[in-house]
Amino acid sequence: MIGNDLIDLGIPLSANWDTSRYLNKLFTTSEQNYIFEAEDPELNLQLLWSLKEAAYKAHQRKFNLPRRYNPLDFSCDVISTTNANSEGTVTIENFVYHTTSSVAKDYIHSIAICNHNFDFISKIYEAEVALKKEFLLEYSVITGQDLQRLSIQKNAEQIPSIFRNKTKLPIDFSLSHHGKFSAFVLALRNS
Amino acid sequence: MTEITILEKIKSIVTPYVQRKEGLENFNDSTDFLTDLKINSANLVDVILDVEDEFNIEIDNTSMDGMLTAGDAKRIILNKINN
Repeated sequence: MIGNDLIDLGIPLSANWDTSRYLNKLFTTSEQNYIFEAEDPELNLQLLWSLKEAAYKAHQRKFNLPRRYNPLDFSCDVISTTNANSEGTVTIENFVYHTTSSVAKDYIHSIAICNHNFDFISKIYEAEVALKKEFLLEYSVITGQDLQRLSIQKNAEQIPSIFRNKTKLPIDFSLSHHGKFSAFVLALRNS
Repeated sequence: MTEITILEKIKSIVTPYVQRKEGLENFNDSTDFLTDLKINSANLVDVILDVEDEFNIEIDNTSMDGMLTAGDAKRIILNKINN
């Protein structure tokens, strides 16, 4: 399963971001250490938040879980960081999600996957778009399916699926939108 | 404090974070912070901190876990102020 999360860095963080009350509700001690050892703690905080969100989506979809707000259950480790990319893991219970993030001037985009062994494509839109429509268009082009028959519907847990007419397709994908940015990620085979 | 008063206070706490203002029109127990009001998940913690301040309570992580609707928040607040 796959999840993604996009953060528009133009939207200011909460005014509470550097208080322990705020941090203790969202981040473990080691995550807080990682945040504050950085030159730019706010950027590291946003990066970790995007990892938690992306892994939350992958994990929720994997098990069709009810929605929860349990960020402390998702424990992040950043393994490597280069200029614009970051690799890491997010662990929840016994499950490990591998993450890859693009850190740009204006946004952070993170993707979480269950294992390394499958390919995916992702696309980031840097201006306002109708994301579902754009995604279905891309999907129809890649798979050669008739766009008119495709739709996206959410189940009771708010997990979206692609439908062809009334048939739910077993496709792993994830959409994310924040501020003026949006993104999708699509697994090229089921994971 | 009546349940209606609590609900009104929750409404005024969440209002600054709401991205879908029409979701506030029929604000009730089933109003969902994320799907109806489109509050960003990163701001939910701000809502929780504001609730703590307004009602002088502490919302532990287990309670926070299930705070997805106005009704959830109301039940958690009632439970804390009555104990």
